[in-house]
Amino acid sequence: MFLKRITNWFKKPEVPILFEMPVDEEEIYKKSKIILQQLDEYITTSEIESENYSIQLDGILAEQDTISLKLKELNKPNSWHERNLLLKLDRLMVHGNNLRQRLELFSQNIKVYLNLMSKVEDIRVMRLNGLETDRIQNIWLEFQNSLETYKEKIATEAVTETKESVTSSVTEERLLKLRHQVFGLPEVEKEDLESVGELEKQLRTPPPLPVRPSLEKVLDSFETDEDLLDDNWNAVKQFEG
Amino acid sequence: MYIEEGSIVVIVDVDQPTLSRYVGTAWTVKNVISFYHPATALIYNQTYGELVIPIRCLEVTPPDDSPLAHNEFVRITKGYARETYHNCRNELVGKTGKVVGYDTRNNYFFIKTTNGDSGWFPIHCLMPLNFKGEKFYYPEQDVVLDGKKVKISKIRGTRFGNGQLLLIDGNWMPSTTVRSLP
Repeated sequence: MFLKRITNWFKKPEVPILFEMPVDEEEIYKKSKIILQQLDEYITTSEIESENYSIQLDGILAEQDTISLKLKELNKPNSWHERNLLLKLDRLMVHGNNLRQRLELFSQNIKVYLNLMSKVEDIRVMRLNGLETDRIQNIWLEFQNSLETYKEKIATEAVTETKESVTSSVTEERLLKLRHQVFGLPEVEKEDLESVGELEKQLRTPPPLPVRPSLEKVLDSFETDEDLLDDNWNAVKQFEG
Repeated sequence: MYIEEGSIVVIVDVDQPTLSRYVGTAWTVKNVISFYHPATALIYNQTYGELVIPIRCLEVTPPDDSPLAHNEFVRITKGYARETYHNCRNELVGKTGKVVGYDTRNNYFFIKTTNGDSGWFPIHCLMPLNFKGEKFYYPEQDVVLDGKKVKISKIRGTRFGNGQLLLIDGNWMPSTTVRSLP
């Protein structure tokens, strides 16, 4: 008895999952209470999350303004400090855009959940009123369709989502654009961007290292051991002198 | 009634007829003048400005993230052992009433029953009447989440009152994802 109770604690909870429920109008009526509860909880969670993200986004926007002001006050064109600030601004903008996208997703989710809730409630109300099953069936089909469209939408969004490139030339272009934006300069032209790319290439190509002869070759250059000793002796003398 | 600076209060009664238009409005407590007779509070509202009013005319509302809202109907399910600030009125157990006050020191709710009695109760002695979910969870309750025993830190109602959100390990979880201990 006691052992059974303990094993029950470690059993997986039998939680009904919303999108895996039986595809039957009869079943949905029976489970409408739990489905409504789940949808309501999802809506509230999404609202809390989106509120938190919106507060974060406000903070990021405020920080962006501060950095823009700093950049203007700094007035050190092409310095490392300015570059660092521009990079920071760029990162903040990327983070801000990500948060905006997430907020939109939350908003879409809430709308879909609200629609689903209304459909389930329709089914409940119709059943309570003792209406014909055909009409309930129609609403159930609508409910399924809305669920399908939501799934498709999410799937297409996942497919079309493009990861922003983080290659150096793209970063440089963006930084230049940002700089123009902050200082109120005219928009960046294509030629400028190309020149930036070339400059970046030049800067990134390391200067050729001097070729170092191998140890064997160096030893071969001395004809006898005495020559080698003399050379060492000369080197010591040079160091002391 | 315990009131402190920053509490959100609602005016429920007024001494002067000129102030009757403020009844039912929410204000923030700016200062408590306890040495006055009767004890008075300086309250502030963005629309109406500042006002000095006796504390007995005010009701403290629970904060936004509290599981119960002001004027929400509840059933008193059980009593509790003596507490630092309040004594349990066991005769109120089993009665229904509404939330008319809140103590920020220990998060107790002041319940006024339908027959006019009143008393202080913590959340684990109350059950909201409009809760439509399967099971109501309380703070500090142990539950099973993903096969592990966890403790609920805080609870919060949902938008339509169909369920609950539970704060577990810093995350708000839907109550349908957890299971109560056998």
